Formats: sequence, C-alpha cells, structure tokens
Amino acid sequence: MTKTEAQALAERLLSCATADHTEIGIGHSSETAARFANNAIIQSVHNVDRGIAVTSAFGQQVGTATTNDLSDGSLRAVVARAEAVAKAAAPNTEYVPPPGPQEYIDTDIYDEATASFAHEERAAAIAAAIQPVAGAGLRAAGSYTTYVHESARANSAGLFGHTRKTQACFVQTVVAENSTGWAETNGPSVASLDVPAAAARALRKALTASDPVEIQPGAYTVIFEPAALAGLTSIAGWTMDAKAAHEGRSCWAGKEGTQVGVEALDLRTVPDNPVLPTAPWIQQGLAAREIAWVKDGVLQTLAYDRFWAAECGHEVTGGPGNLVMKGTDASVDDLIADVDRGLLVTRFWYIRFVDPMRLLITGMTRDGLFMVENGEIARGVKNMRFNDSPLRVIKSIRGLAKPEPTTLHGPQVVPPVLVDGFHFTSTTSF
Amino acid sequence: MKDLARLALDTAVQRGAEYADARLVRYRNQNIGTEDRRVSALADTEDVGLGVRVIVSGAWGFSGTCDLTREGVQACAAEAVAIAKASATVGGKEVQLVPEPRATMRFATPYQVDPFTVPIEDKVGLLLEINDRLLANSGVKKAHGHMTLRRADRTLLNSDGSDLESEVVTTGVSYRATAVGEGDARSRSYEPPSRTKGYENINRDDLLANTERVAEQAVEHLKAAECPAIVTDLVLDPLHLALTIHESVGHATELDRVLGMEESLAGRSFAVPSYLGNLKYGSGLVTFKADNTLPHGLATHGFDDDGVAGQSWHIVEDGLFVGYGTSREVAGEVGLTRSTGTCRADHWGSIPIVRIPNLLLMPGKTPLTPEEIMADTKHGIYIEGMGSFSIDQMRCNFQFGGDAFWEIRDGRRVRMLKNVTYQSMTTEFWGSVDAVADERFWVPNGVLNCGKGDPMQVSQMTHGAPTIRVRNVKVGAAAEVMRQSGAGSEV
Repeated sequence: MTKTEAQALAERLLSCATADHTEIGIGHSSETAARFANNAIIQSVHNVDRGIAVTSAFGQQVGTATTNDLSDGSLRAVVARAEAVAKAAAPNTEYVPPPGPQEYIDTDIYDEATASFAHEERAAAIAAAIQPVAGAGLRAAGSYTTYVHESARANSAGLFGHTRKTQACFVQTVVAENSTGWAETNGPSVASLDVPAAAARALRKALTASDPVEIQPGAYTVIFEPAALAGLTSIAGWTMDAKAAHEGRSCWAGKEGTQVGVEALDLRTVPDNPVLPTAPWIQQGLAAREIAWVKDGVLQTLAYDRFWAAECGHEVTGGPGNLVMKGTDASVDDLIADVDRGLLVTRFWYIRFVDPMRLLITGMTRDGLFMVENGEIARGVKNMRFNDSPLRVIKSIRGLAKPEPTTLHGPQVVPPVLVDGFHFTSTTSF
Repeated sequence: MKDLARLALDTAVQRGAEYADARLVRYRNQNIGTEDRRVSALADTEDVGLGVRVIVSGAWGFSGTCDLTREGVQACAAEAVAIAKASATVGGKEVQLVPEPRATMRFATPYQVDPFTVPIEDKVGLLLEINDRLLANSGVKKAHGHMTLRRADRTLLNSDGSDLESEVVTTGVSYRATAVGEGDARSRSYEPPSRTKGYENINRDDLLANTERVAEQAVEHLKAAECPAIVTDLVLDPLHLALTIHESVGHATELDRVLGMEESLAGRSFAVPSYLGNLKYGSGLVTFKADNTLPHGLATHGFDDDGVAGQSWHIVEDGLFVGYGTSREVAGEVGLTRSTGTCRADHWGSIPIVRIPNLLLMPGKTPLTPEEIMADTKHGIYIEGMGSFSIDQMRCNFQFGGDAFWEIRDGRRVRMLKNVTYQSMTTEFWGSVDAVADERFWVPNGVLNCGKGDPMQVSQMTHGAPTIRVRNVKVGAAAEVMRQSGAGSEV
C-alpha cells in the first residue's frame, strides 16, 4: 500500500465520520518465515494481512473498531461501529483529543530485495547453515524470517503519516548430545545479516558447552551477552510508566532525576536507529523523537503518555519503542579477560516478575552457560535459575563492550556487560 | 464463502499438493478495560481470511491471505505450493500424516446469550460498578477490570474429503484491586474461569458478591508478612493450579516439542517417548486427563485444524506417564494410528501446530474437602490464584507465585503472606502430592494467552483441578535473595 493509497483510504474513512474526533490507523504487513529443526525445514509460511482501526470520540466517550475488509460497505461499517461503540461507552476521563499535523523523523528503511526474498534463496541459506552442523553429527533448529511493514496514521485534525520498512532475522540453535548453543543476526535487510557467522557461533557454543558441570547456585560475577542483557533491560523499559510511579505503584517511584545506574549507563529510545528503527510516531500519531531514559547513570525521565504529561507539565515521551544502550569498542572477549571466576550467559528464557515493586524477576539461562576462569572460558555449566533485579544489575555494571542488535526481547541494540554479584538460586538437570 | 475455500483446495491439488487443507476463519472480538471510574479501553474488532496448507514432496508449505477474491485465493494456494517445493529442497524426513476418516461436521459452542448482542453499556456498566465497589474500600487506590468476548467462525476443507465448520464463542472477565502505602503496592484479583460459553458466563451476581472480599484482601496483602525461605507443605486451590498444570504437564507432553520441533523457541521436554508407560510423573493420586470434548472447555472446538475430531485420553494415569498431545504429523512417531487431535492455529494466517488440550487434574476418588486438607496440614502455605510463573525449556525446574498467600499453622489459615514463590522439579513436585479433593471441588479454570510457535501464536485451553496438597516444597528463595542483597531497601 503506497503512501498515496493510504492517504486516499484515510480520506474515505474520515469522510464517513460524524464524531467530534476520529483517528485512523492503517496497517499492511507481509511476513515470510521458514522454520527448521532436526536439520530440515519443518514449517514455512507466508502471510499477508492488513487492518484498519478507527477510533471515534464524542466528548470523552471513546471507542475503537477494526476490520481487514477494505470493501466500501466494510469501510462505512467500521466507522459506524466505532461511533456506536463510543456512544455506548462511559467517559474515558483521560482521553486527549488527537494532535494536528506533525513533522516526522524519517525512520523508513525499505529494501526491495528483502521484500521479494525468494523462497529458494531462503531455503538455500538455511541448508548452508545446517550443513556444518549435520556434518558434525549434531542437530540444527531455528528460523529465517523477513517482514515488510507499512502503516499510516491520520485523523480529523489533519494529521497524516506513512511509514514503510523491512526487517530480517535469523536465529539458530545447535543441539549436541548434552549441550546447546544459540545465536541470532538481525537487520533491516537480508543483506545486512551474517547468517554463516551466526550459524558458526551457535555451533561453537554447543561444542564448547558439552559435558556441562553442575555448580552451586549463589552470587556470581556474570558477563551477559546482548540477548541476555536485553531480557533485563526490556523488563526495566516496560515498567517505566510515569503515572504508575507517581501513584506509588511502581519500583520507579521517586527515582526521576536520581542516580539509578553506574555513570557509564546511557539508555535511549532512538526512532531512526539504522538497524532497528521504530515507527516515526508514538501515541495518537504524535511525532516520535529520541528519548534519553538514563544518561550518565541518572534517570532522566519516565514514560509519559499525553494525558499524564499534561497533568504533570512534562513532555510526552511515549514508551520505549526500542532501547539503545551505549557501550565501548571492547569485545566480549575483553570482558571475559577481566574475570578471574564468573559465568558467561548467552541468553535467558521465561523471564517473569516476582515482585514488581522491587523489580525482582526470575528466569532460566539457556543455550550456552559457561564458567569463566582466569580470563578464559573454562567449561560448560548446567543451566540455572536466577532471581534478581535489573535495578541491582545496572548499579553493578563493571564493564561494557560493543553494542549489538537483538530482537529476542523486542528491538534493542545493547552491549555485552560485566556485572558483579548476580544471584542464581537453583539448578536444573541439563 | 465455502466456495472460496473449495477453490483454494482445488488450486493447491491441481498444482501438485499431495495433501492440502483450506481454512477460512472470521473473528469477532470485544475487549473492554476499565481503570478506576473510566473506560480505559474499548475495542470491537473483526478479521477474516484464509490459510492454505499443503504437502509437496514431503514438505509443508503454508500461505495466508486476507484477499478473499477468486484471484487472491488462487494466488494464496499457489504460494503455499511454491513454498513447500522450496522447503523440500533442504531434505530431511518426509512429512507423513496418520489417517483420519473423512468427516462432515458442524460444531457450535452451546450458549444461551450471544455476547455480541448484549449492549456495550451493560458490559461497561458492570465493570465500572465493580471498580466503584472496590474503591469504596479506602485502602484500595487502584481498580482495574477487563472483559474479553470472542467468536471464531471456521470452515475447514481438506483433500481427504472432510468438510467441517465450527462456531466457538469464548467469554471471560477479571478484576483487580491494588492497595498502596508505605512504599509498597499489593493487589488481589478475581478471575472466574473463562469458558467457551455465552454471556451467561459473565455472572454479575458472583462478580459483585466478591468485590468486598477482594478489596479487603488487597489491603491485607499490603500489610502481609514476607515469605520466609523454608521447605514446607503447599495447599493449592484450583484457580492457582491451572498455570502449574499448564507449564509442567501441558507443554511437557506436546509431542512436537518432545521431538525437537520447537527447539529454537519454546524448547524441548524431559518427557521423551522412552518414558511412556514407565516414568512416575506424579504420586498415585495424580491423574491428568486430556479432554477436547469437555463441555465449555477452552479447547473444545469440535475438531482441530488437522480435521481430527475432539477426543479424551490420559496423559498421566495414577501417577504413570502414558500419553501425549499430537498432530497427524507427529502421532505416528510414538506408534499412534490416530492423532489425539490437538493441532490448532491461532489465526487464519498461522500454520497449525500442536497445542495443549483441555488438560484436567482429575479429582480424588475418595471424599475429601479442601477444609479437611487444610485441617490436616500442620505447617504450610495456602495459595489462591495465578501469579508469577517460569519454567526451563525442558520443563523441569519451575518457580511459581500466586495471587494471594496464607500461612497455615495447626490446620488453620493464620495470616496473609507476600512475595511467596515455590520452586521445584516437575516429577518431584507432582510426586509429592498426598491429598486431592474430590469431584465436588473440581473447577475448570484455564488460560487465554498460551504462547508457542515461531512466528508466535496465542491459544486457549482449560485446566480443571480440585484443591490439592503437596508436601515439602522449597518456598521463598526469590525474596530471600533481595533480603540478603539489601536491594529491597533501595525502593
């Protein structure tokens, strides 16, 4: 759907509207994914969908209706349905009328070769990734996914915006006799991925982790690889709602303007990040901009929606559409070299809250937990459960390396970090 | 619309599909959210499309489209065939489906009141009345309500000649009160079981009757003592057990996961086929039955997306591991000649995968009440409702929280606790069950948001259970970490 087509569609919808305020969201997506396991492609899917969301407001009575049927009758019906729902609703006393025209940052990265990536090319790339694993007598599993997302926003106050982007992601797990290894590669195009390198990294991890030993749970110096750190930073990012904090319902209460992390900590949302950009808009089509959540270790701002920002006389930030954390030019090997005894974590699995008021969370290590001794990886370790808080982690960072993109826990570009005193509380059987 | 599904099926077969199915689904949903005395979310959504699944040269191909023109449907089928042909070039074991008799069937959720005919005003009014009552307690500073209403109308045709239709209606409601004070905030929720039923499942009288209790318990929760780090007995209520069953038994016995097909995302399972018939999964009191014919079960859809009729079978019988949930693709791997019928997609644009069935912890065979279990417990913790949940990718090490917790002393609930977590290993935990209440106390709770697959799919299923007791479980390790590290004092 081109910008012109989206604009015409929005105008048709708005022409049917009778509400005080009407907002239109239009989306068109194409997702193609080949999933492999046991050294063969087991599922391969292509899915094209579109959607229209109409939000109508009569005073503070607000309702939304959606459809993916673009026939004339359906377009009229979806507007009528949104208006009927709104009229039936009790007031949303936090409703803010939509903004007028905006100037958007250009966050579009569109690659035609990615949008038209042939099934045969995808299968060939997977076959090449599997081949060395199968050759080693091991099993490979993973997926190779490409996306095309187009969306538009419009409203009765004259706002219109359109965005189009492509995204590609390859992940691979290698299963050995008693160990596994995992790696990912992400980017805005298939050309930006290094599939052979990710596949080789997963294989190397599985082989290095073989015959893992069980160790005692407890507090360890830990190096988090980017996918592991992203599991912690994503939890921190999701909880930064300013209203909840100001009402005393969040671990961030009273922390704005205070030192929450080490001085080297710098965490931002960067809409036009060249690898993992966000949409150019936030709530109700308001233009997105770069937000520094934490700078020099000081919490600069929490996440303010339009209502709460107005209540507090604060800028609207929206939520963290992506998270970009500063690092250094060091490598993960440089961090390993700094550790006398500790653990290297590839990634976490099944992270969940335990006590949101202290940001206490739990989760399991997965696909590559290693003991580091005297500056080198010494052996694989059986997986362990952690219970700890990202609030403690960001105060305990001793070293940072070069940031890398990861999408395992949402779009993030974060570095490997070295942290002291991370708490593991139990072991498991593998 | 069935003509379009037929056209897709014929196109796929003409283009070389050895097997094909075409699934046309129309969804209608309403989601309503309230916060305090305002409507925070109100959406009425509809969505329709077609998914075509084929096997060519022993490989799957799947394509979904919302373009429901003849040209769009034919293109979708052709795309599915092209994808399968490309996948087949990588090689590997060819897909073989176990047979399923050709069937013609129409299934419809039995319901009294179509939830989409109930005025929005009534639904919003109920949630706001609940919030009003919660906020009437001066200790409650925040009230949230949520209602989910779903309908899925499905047509499934396959090249085996089956012609199947279903209408599934799902309804659910929940609310939460939050007390705030002294640097802390604690909640208490009420979430009656979501079911495939009409609006009669939204029981206004029951919802309102529980508001005062929920508000009081939210306030009590705020003042509750921290959970100690100890080994103790647990008494677990049915609404709590749904998640524990789901994670440690449901996912562990999905055969596709066991065979490594979910390795890279959802993981595998310790419950390998060589354990069938000889692994002691639980104590002799523990029987898990799968039943996709359960009236009003969240996974009761008449037939699955392989075209296999709903069935009931045992997963664990008197403590012994005896069965899996399967698709037609994987059933033969453990010698089954018919799939158990648990292969479902969450959307017309998703490929069907093995999903947890309605999975039920069966009630005890001898009369036993929850009160008798409690009275017989000298020291322990009683847990109600669902909370924190986490389990490793082999489904062994798990840690669960809950919604509300009470210390048990000498057979009585003596005080509320907070930050209770229990951690165990799956077979050790179920092997420590020594009391199971009888069928009078069996409740069919369930989940609406089970995630699995890549791309991720979200599904629903029922997990019924009675109150049980589990001996000697480790509790409180999570909160102990924070006490020892002093991190809690930062907040």
